Amino acid sequence: MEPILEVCGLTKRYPGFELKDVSFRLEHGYVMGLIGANGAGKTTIIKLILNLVRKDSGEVRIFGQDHLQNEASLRERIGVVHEAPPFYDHLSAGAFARLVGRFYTRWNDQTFRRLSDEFELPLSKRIRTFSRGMKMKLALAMALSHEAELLLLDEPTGGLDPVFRRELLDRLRDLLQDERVSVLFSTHLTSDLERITDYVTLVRRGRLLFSESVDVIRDTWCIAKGGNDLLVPDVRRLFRACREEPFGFTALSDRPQEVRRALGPKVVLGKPALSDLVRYLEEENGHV
Amino acid sequence: MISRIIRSEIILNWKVVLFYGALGVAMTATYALMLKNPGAIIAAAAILLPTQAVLLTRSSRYHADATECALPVSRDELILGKYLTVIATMLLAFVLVLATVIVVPHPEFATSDVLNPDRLATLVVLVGLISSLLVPLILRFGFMGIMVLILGLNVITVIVFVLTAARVIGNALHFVFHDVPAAVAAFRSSVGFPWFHLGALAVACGLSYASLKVSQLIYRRREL
Repeated sequence: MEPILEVCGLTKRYPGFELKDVSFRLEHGYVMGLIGANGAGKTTIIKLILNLVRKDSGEVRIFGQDHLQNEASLRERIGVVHEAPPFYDHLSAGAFARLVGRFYTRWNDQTFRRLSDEFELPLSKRIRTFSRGMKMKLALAMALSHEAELLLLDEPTGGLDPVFRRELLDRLRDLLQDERVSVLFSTHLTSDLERITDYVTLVRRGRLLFSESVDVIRDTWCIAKGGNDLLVPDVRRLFRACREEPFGFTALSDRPQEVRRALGPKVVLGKPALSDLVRYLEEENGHV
Repeated sequence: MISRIIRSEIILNWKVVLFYGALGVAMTATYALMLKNPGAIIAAAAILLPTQAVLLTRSSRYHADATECALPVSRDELILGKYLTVIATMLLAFVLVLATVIVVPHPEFATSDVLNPDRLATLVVLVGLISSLLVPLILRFGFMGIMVLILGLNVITVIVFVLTAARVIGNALHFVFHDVPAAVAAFRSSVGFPWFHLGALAVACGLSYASLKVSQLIYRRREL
């Protein structure tokens, strides 16, 4: 089966920033987290997929088709939530949804109303009176109301308080149960992803570090903790990033077996959280 | 799909359309009573009618271009829809202007002096020209596009005056206000009615079409 989204060698240059040679693929029915620090290039990737910005080189295939061919019909099958959803906020939520819904042949007004009820969205109120969280919920309800097969969510939880974030993620997880929808979920709040993602693509300063399943990541990477006396040059070479504290070191490695062989029981190995990966790899110097 | 775009633009902008429509009618009525020259009324209407294009500034005001461009519609269709909306509202305003000139009779000259076929043909060409310049600028710069046009026309005028004063080119004012009307009048008398008026309509359509193509090209390359 063809991947629902395939990005190959995607490159975009801006003055002072370059997204270079990014490749990954998202299979049907899975959730992929697109993670990285602020300014890593996550939003640029999503905008390039949607052709909101023009790529310099590379290829994007959605549902097996080039994203520039049959652009309009491909978008019928894509739901988008922008980082800061731009609305005509002088309209009521209901009027805006009706306006947007007309463009989708598979728009389901019942689904939209059901989701709006679940999200407790006052459809008769003007959007300008909505909080950021409500705007995000509205954007999500709209993205899910036209039977989209691919959801592109750009920092949907950014700027939301933890309670609201959790609620939104729970709703999203419930909605994704049927596995008909694939999701590319960009965020710098990696804790949000731990609970829902199947694959993770990590970008740092415009470069792809890896794009793997969560299981592979957990098997590949480890956090090592031990005494500073163990940090001889040969051991340091096994670590991608290392933090030294007066009471010992904590390091990230993608060679857990070699670390275990070299240090044996003197080191404690654990699985890194996604936030650890991002934090340590941001600190990493040298090539990847 | 085009009809959906037009409908959306009207839903989004009906208050703006009404406001500018009312403003246009009020100003035209005022001009109709104050101005001594029927040609000046036509010129005023030619400037007022393209202001309907201001409705296109709403997307940039709400930063909603990215939302529009993520809809299942191509950018070319989006721009075509916006052009058709502007043309439709200009036609509506045009009808209102005609009605105003008829309803508010001028104390010094007859309505037929204002609404004769030659003046209306001139109006159509002028509206076509101004809106063809204005719409691409609004689509590119939002509301600032109007300022860019005014500023650009002023800069060009100053340059032309300087070049004329320096005798690099001939008398530009004489060319615009004497040579061009003379050439048009000669053309009008040689081809006669109705070809001259159809020609004026064709010129306006041609300008609008060229403007549409330029806008589509600009918008296709625009990064959001």
